[in-house]
Amino acid sequence: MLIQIEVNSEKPIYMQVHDQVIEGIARGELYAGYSLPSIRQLAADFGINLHTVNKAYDLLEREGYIVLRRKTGAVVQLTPSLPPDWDTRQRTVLAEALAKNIDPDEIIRRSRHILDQFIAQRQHYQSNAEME
Amino acid sequence: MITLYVVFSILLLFILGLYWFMPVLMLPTLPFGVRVPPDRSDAPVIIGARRDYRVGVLVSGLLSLAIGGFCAQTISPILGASGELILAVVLLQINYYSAYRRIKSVKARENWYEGVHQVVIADTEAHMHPGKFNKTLLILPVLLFVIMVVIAIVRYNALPAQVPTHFGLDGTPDRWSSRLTAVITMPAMGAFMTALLSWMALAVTRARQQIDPANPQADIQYQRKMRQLMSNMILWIAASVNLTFLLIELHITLVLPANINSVLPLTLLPTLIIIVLLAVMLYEIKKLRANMPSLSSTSRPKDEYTTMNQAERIAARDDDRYWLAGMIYYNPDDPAIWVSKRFGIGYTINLGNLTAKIISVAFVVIIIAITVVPRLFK
Repeated sequence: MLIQIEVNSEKPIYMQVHDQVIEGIARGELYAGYSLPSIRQLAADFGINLHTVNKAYDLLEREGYIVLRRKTGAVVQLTPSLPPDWDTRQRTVLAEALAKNIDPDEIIRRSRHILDQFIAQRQHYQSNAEME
Repeated sequence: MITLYVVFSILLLFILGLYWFMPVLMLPTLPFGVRVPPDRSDAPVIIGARRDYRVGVLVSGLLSLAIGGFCAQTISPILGASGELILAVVLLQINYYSAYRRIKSVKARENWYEGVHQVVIADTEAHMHPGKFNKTLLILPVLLFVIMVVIAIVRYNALPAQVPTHFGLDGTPDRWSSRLTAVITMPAMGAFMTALLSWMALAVTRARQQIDPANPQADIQYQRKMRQLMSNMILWIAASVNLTFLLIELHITLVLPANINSVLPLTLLPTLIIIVLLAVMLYEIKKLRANMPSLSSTSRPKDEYTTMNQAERIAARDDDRYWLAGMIYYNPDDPAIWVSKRFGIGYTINLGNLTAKIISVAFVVIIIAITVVPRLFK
């Protein structure tokens, strides 16, 4: 999987890495047992500070997407529960749409569309893996 | 004595050739070590700098050949020979630097990166398929080293107590050593160089890759092949270095006679091998780049890029601030030790990195130890 970070973005780099790893898992490009590059390796590939990648991996571990081990590095391993603040963040995103008077059905339709995209990509990656 | 002047002049022509062809190896988005967005890769200032750079190479070459030739005839061939080489390298470097300054100042004045999204891409699979270190190629330098050791052992008893180990330019010995020192020196240097170059060949296969956002998948393939090529090339260089040491050892151990006629082949052979290696490498790189349209200077994604709207204008990160004079990489934040050079091909060290600093200092200390210390105990 390719991770692309934008250096001058308002979104912090660690957050960009964090979000892209989660999206990679959602569309099935990254899966349980997938071994991510070590912190040093990824920082060197980007040419950024170790602490930035460390922060991203640390957050991913606390939220239950990966585990960090001294020997195996960072491995995707998912805990079934949602991160504790997921409801709060979803609430904000939905409130943003409703505040602008977007029709609730339209909000559901848009959400469904994004989910369908992820699921379609997931099927694509799964059939690729079976062919190999 | 005049042979030396001729040899140095041939070397000078070779260096001129390298500088002349360097712009061919430059990436379209890195002219003279300045990072530019794709839509500026044929800006008038870059085309002008390219043209004037070529003129500068010619002028530097002719000027140093003329001054060197004059000194060689009036003062001494040695001064003329070494003087013209040093003068040429200084002039060529200034010439390169002025092209760099020129592009950089226009880039800053016209604010080329305004509205461009600067990105860096990394591949999470890269660490699963590291480049292969070609163990078969390692046999050649190791074999030459073993031959050196065998010659040292076989010839030891046949040597007189004092052996000439250093020769003047006319082939007469001007330094003598005990036979033990004489047989050990070349195998020891061979062992050191083999170890150093093998380590570099291994390190290159693990050098980081930063991927071109214009064409990520093709760039990953290209860089992988490029690292493999570089690693193999370093092992070939190790073999030719050991071959040179072996030839010197054959003279020191008196297997081959040491006289005036032996100096020329000893100087010419390594030069010749390096020229052949470079030619092969350039040919291979050209072949690789032909399959990678965004890297060849003939076809560029420029048109496609300029028609994009502002939100889509994505280009590789402008990292000029980490490159001193466009040549030396200094980025304390970056944990990478080896990084791709900006100018032409190959790898350079990140001087902002602690490990890299230690390696560089150790390298300089070892070079000084090899060249200076023996003279102190003469």
